[in-house]
Amino acid sequence: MSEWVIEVEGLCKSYGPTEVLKGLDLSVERGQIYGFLGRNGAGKSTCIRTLVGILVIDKGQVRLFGEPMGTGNISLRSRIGYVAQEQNFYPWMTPRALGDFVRGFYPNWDDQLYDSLLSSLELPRDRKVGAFSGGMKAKQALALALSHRPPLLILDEPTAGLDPVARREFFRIVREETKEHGTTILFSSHLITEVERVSNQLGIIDGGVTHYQGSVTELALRVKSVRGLPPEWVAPPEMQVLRKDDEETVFFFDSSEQLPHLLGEHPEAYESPLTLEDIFVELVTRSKVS
Amino acid sequence: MTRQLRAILKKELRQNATLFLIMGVVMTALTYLLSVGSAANENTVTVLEIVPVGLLLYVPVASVYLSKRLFVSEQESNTHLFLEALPIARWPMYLVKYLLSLTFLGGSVLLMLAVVLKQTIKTEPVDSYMIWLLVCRALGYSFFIWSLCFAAGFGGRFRTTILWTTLLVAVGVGSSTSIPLDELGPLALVSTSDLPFNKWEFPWEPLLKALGLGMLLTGLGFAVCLWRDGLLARRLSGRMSVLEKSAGGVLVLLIITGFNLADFRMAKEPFEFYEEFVLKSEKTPLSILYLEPEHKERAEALMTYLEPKIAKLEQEVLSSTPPALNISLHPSFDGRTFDLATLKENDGILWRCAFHRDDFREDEFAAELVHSILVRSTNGLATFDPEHWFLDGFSVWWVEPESAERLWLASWIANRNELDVERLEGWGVLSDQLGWTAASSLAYSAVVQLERKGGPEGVVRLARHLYSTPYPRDVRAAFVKLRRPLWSELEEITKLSPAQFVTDWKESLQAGFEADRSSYPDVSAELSAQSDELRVRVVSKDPPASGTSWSFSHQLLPAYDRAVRPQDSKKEEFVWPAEEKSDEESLLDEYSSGQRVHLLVELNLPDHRFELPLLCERMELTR
Repeated sequence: MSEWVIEVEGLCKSYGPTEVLKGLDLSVERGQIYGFLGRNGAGKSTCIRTLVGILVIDKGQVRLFGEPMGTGNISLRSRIGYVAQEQNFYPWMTPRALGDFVRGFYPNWDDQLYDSLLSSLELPRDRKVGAFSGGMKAKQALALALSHRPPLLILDEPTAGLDPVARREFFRIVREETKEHGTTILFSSHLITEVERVSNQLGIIDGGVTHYQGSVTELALRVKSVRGLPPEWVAPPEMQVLRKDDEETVFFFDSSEQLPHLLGEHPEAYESPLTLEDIFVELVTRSKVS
Repeated sequence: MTRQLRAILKKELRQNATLFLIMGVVMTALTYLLSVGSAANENTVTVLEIVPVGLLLYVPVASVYLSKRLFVSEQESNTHLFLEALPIARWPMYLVKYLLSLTFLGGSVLLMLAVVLKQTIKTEPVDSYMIWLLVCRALGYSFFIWSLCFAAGFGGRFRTTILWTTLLVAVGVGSSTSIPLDELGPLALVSTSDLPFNKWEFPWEPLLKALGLGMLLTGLGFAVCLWRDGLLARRLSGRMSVLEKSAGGVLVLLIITGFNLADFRMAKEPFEFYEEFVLKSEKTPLSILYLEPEHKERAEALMTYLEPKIAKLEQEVLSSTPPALNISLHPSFDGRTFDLATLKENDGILWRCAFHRDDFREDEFAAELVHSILVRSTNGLATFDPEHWFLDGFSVWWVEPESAERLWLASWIANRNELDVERLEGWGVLSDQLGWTAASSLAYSAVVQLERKGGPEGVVRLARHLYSTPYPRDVRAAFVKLRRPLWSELEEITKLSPAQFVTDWKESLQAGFEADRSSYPDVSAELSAQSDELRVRVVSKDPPASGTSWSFSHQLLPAYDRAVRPQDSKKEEFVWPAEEKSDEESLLDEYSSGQRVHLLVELNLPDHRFELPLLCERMELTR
């Protein structure tokens, strides 16, 4: 039986007249590495900020570990490790001072772990973080997020602005540090290759709603491009078409049998390969697919 | 929760300890220097006078800086996002910062009081109740100011505009209206005329207002920072756009223009008598109300005496028509008591005097009238000039250009007091120590000295220089004052340096004293105050001439910086016992301990018009 760590239903959030989340749904099981994919401004950060209890929700439900999450649920908030998109540390603080400060907020804080993380992340303990590069600040945030051994780690575009080597290094450390404890990880990104490489579960959101939830493999099996169909061909009602032009038709199949069946009916037609990036673009530029 | 609060507190202390230390050390050092300087200054009434000044300057500056440092900077540098991501609610996070700032501010204010009190208790009786009052006033005021700055701090980029607008509106209201801002609401707690001297009355009303307004502002600040997850505070933070800057500038200009226009429109109708028995001058705006037909003759005589003097003043000194001048008969006054009424609804001047009496001193009254015209013509600022000796002296000189009696009195005073340029520059203090008649006579002798050096036209020239152009009602007065100093004009007229002028003046008074030495009695007065009893003893080297009397005037002082009005005093007169070298009287149960009284002991010689001041003092009755 699955154990849900994150359950979000019909989440709505507005900033003044701007409606950012319009009934978003999200479910993450224990131990999953969940890639949260969406364009800039899709609502990823807002969703994450409600998950970690920084923002109050307008409508809908957010449950973490089966408990309703809110800004006042401090004990639940202390079970989350959070790395924000931008690191806004006090520039006068050193990693050592940051550790001293943040320790006070987490009952499970582990000084030894923090110290070893600083070493493995190659962060100088007594240098002011104001002088750190973007990559070093991201590593510092990761060290702080991991040192209280959270069962849930939420990373909001943690590698934005990092070079490819640093990005890979970042996620290598995340995986290494969390694999022993079965930590659930939710991370947002707009970099498809990163999500493809790191996550085993995927959520695609756009315009404040979820367009897809499931595994990356399943997504690749269900979204297919077919070329060579006769121009006068019309899709039957049971087939969901994401896009159709003279040369190409993109489908969101309900079952894996629909594609062989279609190709059998139209011998001149053939499957055209799609990358995850193509699938992502097709999904977010078309209507919602359940 | 405690663990989290402790972490925030520790962080804030670590971040701001140096700032707190520097602010505390600088404030303590400045307060110490000021209190030592104040104690050494002979014109200081009480060292506690620096407390309201210190609070008025330090608390707002410190509050603005603390709110910038602990709240505004956090929003500007986005470090609040880091804090908000930690497992702690917003309100305790901001509450810790709020209380820490308030504690520091309160602590530093108490330190300031301690430094001043340490200096004060060496020379002044300060009891525990007075200390309690000072503490309550200082803390109440600090709470209000801090709450204001805390709330304004969440105005983000608009906070400077909010604070400047508040200040401008306060200055505008203060200068354009008669509303005494320093006596309103929380500001009354640090009133310069009340805080150092009020040792018995607990300031319930201003304290409650300060606490109420402070809590309201604190609530407003918290509402802004907590509303919709801090969305409002976030939107208000950041840098001002060009449009917002322009709007702020326009707002400030509108406020200034608005107050100037309001000031202009607030011109009041001149005061006018509507009674039946009124004499009106055709040459000047002078009216005399004589109440009964039988006093018409005396009123006409007074009109005849005053009319040419006022007309000449208008023609030679003032650049504009004098204000409406109204004189009303006050039957119950004696001949030397004149009362300048306060006109709240109308413009102009209203004097009340007993001109129907035989002992009415029209020359002394005329001098007071001229004085009031000059004060009114400068919108009251002539008396704020610390060197207004010329105003007092000129008023007498204008109606009595040759008064041997005045010079006789001035010589007596000069012989008993040290006179130099500095004392003239602090004329308010000297005048207070001497009493009005003696001070105006001394000032008159200085104007006579000016007349000797520069001729009557020199005196008129200086008067025109000082009073012909109306003083502006706002801060520009300061610049005008810088542009037209009294001494530079006087130097030009007399071709003498200020020091030389004063030396010559003193020598002439000394010569007058020596020439008429035999007319001056060798008399002194001693005053002792014990609990509820005031005892006065007058001693003469030789028994004074027959018919000599002495008087003892006293009145309760409301607030120390308010002028003492002779008509408010109770005057006890005693005939000097024949052939006696001393006399003694005491006043029992008139005043109670802790009260401050003004006391004047004068000697009245039978052949002289003016009493000789033997002692003039403000005194606090000790417990």
